[in-house]
Amino acid sequence: MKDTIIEVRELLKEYGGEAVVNYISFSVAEGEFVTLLGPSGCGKTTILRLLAGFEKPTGGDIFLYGKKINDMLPFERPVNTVFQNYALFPHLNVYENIAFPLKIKKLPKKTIEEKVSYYLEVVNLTGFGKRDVESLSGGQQQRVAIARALANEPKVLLLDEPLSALDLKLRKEMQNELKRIQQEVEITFIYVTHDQEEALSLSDKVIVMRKGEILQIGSPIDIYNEPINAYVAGFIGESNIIDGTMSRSYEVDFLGKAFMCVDRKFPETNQVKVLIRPEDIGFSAIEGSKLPATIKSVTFKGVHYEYTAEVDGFIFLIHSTISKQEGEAVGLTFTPNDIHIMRAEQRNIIPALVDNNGHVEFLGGVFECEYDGEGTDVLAVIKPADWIIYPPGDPSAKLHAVIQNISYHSERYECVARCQDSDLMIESISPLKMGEVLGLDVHSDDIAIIRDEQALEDMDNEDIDEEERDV
Amino acid sequence: MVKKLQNLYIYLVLVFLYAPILVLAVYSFNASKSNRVWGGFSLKWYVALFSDREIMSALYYTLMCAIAATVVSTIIGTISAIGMHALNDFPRIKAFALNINYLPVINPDIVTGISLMLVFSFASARMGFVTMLISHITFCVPYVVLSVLPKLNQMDKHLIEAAMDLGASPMFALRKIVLPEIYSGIVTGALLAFTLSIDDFVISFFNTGSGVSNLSIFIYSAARRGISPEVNALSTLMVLCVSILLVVANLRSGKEIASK
Amino acid sequence: MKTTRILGIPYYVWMAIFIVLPLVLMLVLSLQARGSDDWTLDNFKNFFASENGMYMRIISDSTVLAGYSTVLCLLIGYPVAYFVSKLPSRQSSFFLIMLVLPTWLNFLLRTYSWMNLLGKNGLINKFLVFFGLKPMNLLYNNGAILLGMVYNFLPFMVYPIYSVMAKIKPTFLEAARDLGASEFQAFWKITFPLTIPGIITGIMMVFMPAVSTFVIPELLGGGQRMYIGNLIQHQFLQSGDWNMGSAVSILMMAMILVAMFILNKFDATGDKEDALW
Repeated sequence: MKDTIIEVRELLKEYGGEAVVNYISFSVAEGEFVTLLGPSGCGKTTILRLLAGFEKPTGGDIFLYGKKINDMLPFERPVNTVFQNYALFPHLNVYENIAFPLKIKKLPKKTIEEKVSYYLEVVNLTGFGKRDVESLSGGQQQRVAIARALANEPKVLLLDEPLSALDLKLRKEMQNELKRIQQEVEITFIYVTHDQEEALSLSDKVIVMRKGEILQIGSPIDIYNEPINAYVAGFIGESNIIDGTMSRSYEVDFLGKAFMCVDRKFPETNQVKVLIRPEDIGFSAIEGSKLPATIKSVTFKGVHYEYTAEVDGFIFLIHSTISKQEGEAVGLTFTPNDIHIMRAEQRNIIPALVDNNGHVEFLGGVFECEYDGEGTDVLAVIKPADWIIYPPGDPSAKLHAVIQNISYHSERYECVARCQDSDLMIESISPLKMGEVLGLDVHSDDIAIIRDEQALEDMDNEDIDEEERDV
Repeated sequence: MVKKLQNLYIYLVLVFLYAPILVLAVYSFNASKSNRVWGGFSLKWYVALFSDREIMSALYYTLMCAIAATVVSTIIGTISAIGMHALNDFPRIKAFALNINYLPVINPDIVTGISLMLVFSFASARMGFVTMLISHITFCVPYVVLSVLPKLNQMDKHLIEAAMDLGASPMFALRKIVLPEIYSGIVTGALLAFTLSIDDFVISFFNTGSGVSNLSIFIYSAARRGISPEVNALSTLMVLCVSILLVVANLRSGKEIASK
Repeated sequence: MKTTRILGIPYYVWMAIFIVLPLVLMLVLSLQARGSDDWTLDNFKNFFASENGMYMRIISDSTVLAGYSTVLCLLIGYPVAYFVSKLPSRQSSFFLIMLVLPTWLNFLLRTYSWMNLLGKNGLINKFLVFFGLKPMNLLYNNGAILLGMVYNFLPFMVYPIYSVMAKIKPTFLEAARDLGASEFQAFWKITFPLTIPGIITGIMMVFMPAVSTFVIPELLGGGQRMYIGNLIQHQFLQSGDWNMGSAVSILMMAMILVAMFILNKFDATGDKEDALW
């Protein structure tokens, strides 16, 4: 295990009261290639700017080699940035751009020359020193920007969507270049992108983000194969996501059939989401097939065909090199290894009474909320992580609940707690104890009020649509 | 601290820019004729201003000349810009025409003014409103051309072809496709022409005669005679007009942004 | 398109009559002696070799005075543009309007307003007297002319510098800071070199009217000393020597064109479309 170079703890950044980065924690090991992946507006670039020192955190700490660097100015940090549009100085040529940090340091002329020509070589631009930066192609400008940042010999290089301005072919080429450069100079890279393919092919570690929060941290293979929820799965690649139930380990029921799988049951719930990647589905003869399907559409994609096929009203997306006709009846097959089980996103759905003055009452507590729909009998939807936890008897606590059971998942505690006759799911980053009494409150922004279960489904779909549009 | 010093500096420069104008405005309400003493508040110089035939005639000629010069030079400038833009196949001719067009812009006013005066006097033209108007049009058209041409260059080359392909006649394409595309350039050019014309002194000075003068010429001769309180009143009114126009223009552009 | 090409023709005729012909006439006059039709270079010879070097002195006086006012405008105006560009956009657009507004006011009025302040009984002298000091001769000297030039032309320096400065991407400065530059180094190595095209435009826009104006020397200088503008006006309107006046005009035009040409050389990277406005 390599040493930790950067540690971010409970990092918070607010603009005008709006949290763009919402209590985020992660760490980066020396020499690692870490990618922050998420749609635009998820806060990934803000994290980069906080690491670089262009922004000051509203809360939380950033440590470099265990030393707090919150108040260090950008040029005091051994961290350099490759900007999205390169920010090459237009009045300086390639050589002068790369020499800029070295001249600032007042290094001897000879050293500067040596270093510049070394880094020109690293980025494969030997002989380009005299060129005007504006005469270079996008890919070449990109290389100069990287060389300039590297010339300052940082411990960590931050790259803000560095390939987004390039066309597809160049992007692929630069991906390989980046990986090669990183291996050559052995510097930690923190990379920001909204392109999942870039993230998967470049990184040692991927951090998937959404709305200022981290959804999942893991190796590219983990993220692809074991996405933590439907959102990550959908963001990482095309996928089929099916509601399922799991009453015991290694067996899951969906589409009315039982299938073998390789995952264990979640202790707290039977409800799961089943993920099957389109390329993992194969065709078999219709006779005796467990999943008889009808091909609905065929699109030729060059390397493979893309099919949609219907089974009992569910539409599967399938990538295959085998040719089938529209309307053909086929059987669908996949192995237990191809079935990935995800926890269904957990929410407390509590029957509640709402009035027109912005108050909602449930479980004996009265909360502020925003609701302009009709009716007074509604459901309040609260995410487990949104509860604010107080010691019992605290005057701010509006509900009290007794912990029934606890489970620990990477860096957070989940518990089921009883409040009156309902079981609440509660998530906390600080340790919880069995039988402990918790005082609870919840911020008005975190209470979603809906009319019925149908509205809940609509809300989910809207959520995903919206973020896909952002990308 | 540094921020405060920077703001202080900007305010000091603004004081420098506005103090003289403010002093004029204060004196315009002075009942005493000389600005040696404050004779109490009075509006009499404003009354005098409006009954002064010389000033009223200068105001009349200034506005007439500015309006006429703006209308004519906007029309000529727009049409010529379209004509010049179509000269793309003859880049030399286009560059030559543009360079000539550029001359009144880079030449000092006094050279433009005097050279025009030479032409008028050799043609034995009677110096007066017409010669002043012609000289105003001459220095306004280049600015209109220079505001409209960039808009034409920005326009998609295939727009006209597409319109004609869809059955539009060249005139129709010009009116319905080209004009709306370059509209903002035309407006900028017209505004420039108007402000240049209304503010001009040097060129008018050399190209007018027979009792025709504009406000600039009037102020020049009044100032040479010494301070006159009517001019204070006049300038206060002009400051007021310009400020109101700017505020209105800003509110309008603000509204446009908001409605977008 | 053939049909639209002919649209330019009326204006070409106009340009020939009212732009080219006047300048040709001026050139012709400058090459003839007063009251004769023979070609001669006497006017130019007289100019460069007048008995007491009067013309040359006028040229050098004008250039020096315009040079001073240009330098002053740059020294005062550059910080203004820099500070305004660093303000949040709402404030900066407010200050920008405030800076440009006086230029919308009649040029003569702006000059006249200083006569009110600087005069023997002007406000400044009244203050001096009030504090028991002797009144000073503030009006009708070179200082007053310089003041009037800086006052009138300062916005022409601020505006082009500001518009170039506002286009400098904030990431350039962030990158410079990130790469180890101090705030001053970032300014000196990035901001300043990138604003040179604006400075050059500003210099042109201030120097040109400053060197050719005859209004400011006449109103604020009391017409006591002659500068090029006054000389030309004098030749045409008072002494009636149109030939000599034309020669001086031609020389001034040439001087300004050469100056613009040299300045443009410095500005090889500049954006020409912006250079004008």
